[in-house]
Amino acid sequence: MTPFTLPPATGGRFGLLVLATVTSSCYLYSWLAGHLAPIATAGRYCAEQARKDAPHVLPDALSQWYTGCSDWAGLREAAAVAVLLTVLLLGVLAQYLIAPWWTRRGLTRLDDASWVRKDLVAAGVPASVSAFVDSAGPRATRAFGNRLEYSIVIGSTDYTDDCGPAVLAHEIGHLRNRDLDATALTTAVWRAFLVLAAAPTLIVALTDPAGLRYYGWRLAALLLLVYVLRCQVIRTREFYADHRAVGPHRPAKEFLAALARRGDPTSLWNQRFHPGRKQRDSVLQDSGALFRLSAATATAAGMLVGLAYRPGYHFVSILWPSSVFGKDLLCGVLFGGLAAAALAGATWRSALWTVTVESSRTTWRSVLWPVTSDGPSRATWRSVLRSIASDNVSPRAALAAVTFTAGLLAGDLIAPAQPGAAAWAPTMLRSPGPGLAVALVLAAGTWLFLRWTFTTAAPRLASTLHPRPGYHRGMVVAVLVAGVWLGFWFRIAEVFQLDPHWRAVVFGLATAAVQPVPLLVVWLAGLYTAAVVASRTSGIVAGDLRTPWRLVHLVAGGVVVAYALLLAADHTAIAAAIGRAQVDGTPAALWPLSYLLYAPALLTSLAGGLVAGLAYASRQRTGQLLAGVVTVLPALAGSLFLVSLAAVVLLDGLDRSFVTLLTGLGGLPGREATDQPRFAALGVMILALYAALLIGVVPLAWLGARIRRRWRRAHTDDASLPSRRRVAAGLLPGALAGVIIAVLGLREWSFAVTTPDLRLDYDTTAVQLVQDRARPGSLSGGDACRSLYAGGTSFGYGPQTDAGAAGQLATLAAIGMSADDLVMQRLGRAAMDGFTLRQLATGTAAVSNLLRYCLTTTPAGPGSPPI
Amino acid sequence: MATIETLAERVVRKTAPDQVGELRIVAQGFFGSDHVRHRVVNSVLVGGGGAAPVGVDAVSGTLIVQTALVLLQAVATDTASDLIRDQAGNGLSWWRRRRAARALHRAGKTVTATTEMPAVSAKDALLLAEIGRGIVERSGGSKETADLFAIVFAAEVCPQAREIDER
Repeated sequence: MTPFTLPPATGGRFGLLVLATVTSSCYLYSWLAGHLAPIATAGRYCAEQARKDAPHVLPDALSQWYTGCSDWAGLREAAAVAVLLTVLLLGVLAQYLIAPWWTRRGLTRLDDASWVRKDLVAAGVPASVSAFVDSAGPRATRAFGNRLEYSIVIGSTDYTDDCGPAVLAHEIGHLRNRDLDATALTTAVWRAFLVLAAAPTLIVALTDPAGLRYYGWRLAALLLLVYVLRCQVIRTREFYADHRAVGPHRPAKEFLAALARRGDPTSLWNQRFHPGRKQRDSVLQDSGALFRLSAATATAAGMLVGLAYRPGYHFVSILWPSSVFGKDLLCGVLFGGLAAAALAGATWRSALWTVTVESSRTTWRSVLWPVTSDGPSRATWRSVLRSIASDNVSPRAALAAVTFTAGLLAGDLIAPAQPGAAAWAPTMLRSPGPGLAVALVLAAGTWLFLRWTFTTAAPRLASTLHPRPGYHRGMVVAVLVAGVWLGFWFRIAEVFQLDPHWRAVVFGLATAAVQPVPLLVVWLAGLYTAAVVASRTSGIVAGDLRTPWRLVHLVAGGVVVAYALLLAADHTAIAAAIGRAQVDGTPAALWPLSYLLYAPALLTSLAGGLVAGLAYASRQRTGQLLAGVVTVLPALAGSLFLVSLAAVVLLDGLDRSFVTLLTGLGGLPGREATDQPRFAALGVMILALYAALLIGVVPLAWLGARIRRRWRRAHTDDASLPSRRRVAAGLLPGALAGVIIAVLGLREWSFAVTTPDLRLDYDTTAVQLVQDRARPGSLSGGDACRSLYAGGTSFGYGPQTDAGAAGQLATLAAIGMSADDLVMQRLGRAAMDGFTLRQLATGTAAVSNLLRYCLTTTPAGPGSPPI
Repeated sequence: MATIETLAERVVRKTAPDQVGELRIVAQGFFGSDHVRHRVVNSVLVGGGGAAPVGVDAVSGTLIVQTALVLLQAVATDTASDLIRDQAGNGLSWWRRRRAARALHRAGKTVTATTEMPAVSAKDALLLAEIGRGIVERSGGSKETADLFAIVFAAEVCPQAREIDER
């Protein structure tokens, strides 16, 4: 099997290297920027200006001004980091462009390079590659260059002895693999990182002992990570070039013998960029290693997500301060997507390996490149599916999921602290039981993601004549699914970080059922699976019919983008609508909301029913299996509701929940107690969903079977059927899902409510009690700040009502009011006024300003970063 | 009088006859370009310039041809004594080796393949041969090859050195 059927593993590793460098540089530059006078004094300027203005302005005006000033200070820091990052990227670009030219100056151009050109032309490489001899490196045969000019250099000894042709073939392999740009960039990234990020940080750290203590080992860990990834990129490309160098004209044995004649690089140090001879030999004999999901790659990917999340979240918070769900989603899609690209790429290669190994067991004909036009043999197809179903050939998804999770938490542990984004890993270590549960949620989600990628990739590869386009499109969907899922997990981790108890874990899982994000993942995954299976079955899309993948992905991508845009457009309103509906919404008020949130899962289930019916009508065993695959994923959406139901019972107590739930099932309004969320509405939604599933899926499956039978009778020659129409019919439910989501979303979000003015209907008795206890001037500023830090970390975030939350936040406001500092008094008063007037968002913003003011004037204590 | 090129060919032919063809290629760059000569001098005296991260593997090759050319150039440009001062013994600092390479590179700008070789004292010839032996051995050559190189080199640049060496 050729390893070039899919893009090589080098690309994913290179992407990880770039991400690691940018992330590490962000940390280092953020710290360096703190040493620049205009950045360091910006926060203090806000505090001093607030002190001057405090006697003359109203509390809420002071709070609003302080919010703006803090955002301005944050933006200044972000701008400084952006400028430094731009310098780093310019350094990378300069090194990428200049280094090859600089190297060429010390080489001797070959007068007669016709024999090299002949080999290049025979290999299909453009003849514009220049050829040199290296007088200083007897065995330094290599290929290098950038997009402007590629060069092949032959070592002076290689030029004259008999192992030269084999070595030259290896270098031509690099040109054929087009990995020279990635290599030049890898070297450029490493050198630029050393000179423009690590060295300045070390110099500043040496002048700042506290900084050295805090950043020293972190800098070492970041450097090690970037270095290891750099070595990995360069090592991996050698395997692929070796495969290019061998073939019928030059057996692997001959190639390895030629390498052996050059000498033996035995030391480990020499193998940092080049694999050892034994390893090269083993990969040439059995290229399975290039197709396996590596635990090391999964660890690196996880570590990078762990490292990248917090600076990303910090800067997104600065640019988009009012976002509730958007920040997690954006960070999840960005960082999770990049990591998933490496994992999903490896999983697709694993799937290719499985497909080919299975095909070689059952038939002499390759499933990937069938000679005849009728596609791969059915025996092979069944064999592949059986292997996937029975898990005979595993992509090592479980190991990769565990190492990815461990890497993510390790990255979070290494990462320097960022204001506004606390670390999860230390919290998980402090609360090991619930912390392990949160980590297991991530590991389980990653395992499901990898298995799903594998399960969709294998049938796709087994049926396609063009594996690469299928791979690229599958990667887009995989990246979206993983990114969105990780965005959701980040939310759970944030909740857990604020309230490290079991109730937060249960709350996070329970709310999955009423959050659009996990449903979007299920919908997207289900639609893609349906499309993959539909393209292969002999039901609706029989024979040589090929699914119009461009259309599928355009529809899926369009819906995802539209959904994300609509969510982003008025996310505060939707968050408020959910909150309001949970507190005092009647079942009738929740109906449009439930449609909006559950439409993707519902419609995918309906689509699954239709496709299952179409497939089942003609096939027996295969059809059943496929129908199972199609329906399992959408059924997960229904499982979320069961989890939600169980969580309601667990959280609120068996007796009360059942009463409210049964009330809701009876179509009656929920209890009137204002301090209790009305799960009655949720009961109605669950009932409605299962009713819709029962009413919709069964007839649709029957309808599919009928259509299938009629088509078989009317068209004995399947190929005569218009393929695009049939596929469009198969995918219609999925497309309809997108349209309905968009329409309902527009309807739901048409009543925009600005958050600060939103008045929630909750009992303010608790707030009043706290307010009465405030004694202005009874606490020094420092003591008040320390009390605020302690109160802020013990703040319970969980399944509580607005009244409970307001009461807890009002305690912090009262601490501010009791300080002898006028700014703190005013900010505390602004917060208390907000909670009293039931303007929760206004009060919360004022409490945040109190904490920011404290961070500027009073150190947070040991363990905080020395900024 | 012998030139650098003819002497280098005699040394390589007697030490590693299969590398005579390589000598022609290396000499073309060495005498034709300042940058190439700089890299050759650096690779012999300082190290590096051999196996690159982008090379086919980490083997760097034995520097017989390059060592012969660099040492002969030192003799031709009258910088052998500087080289001996900076290179004698193996426990030298990177900085001193670098200084020697810089001096040799500066002096070598006027050297061509046909530059005639001046007379060398037997003592200097033996010391240079000793330096050459160390370089060849460090670059991966066997002990026998390194010894042979030292003997041949000393004998070619100063015939009296052979007698001293034999004694």
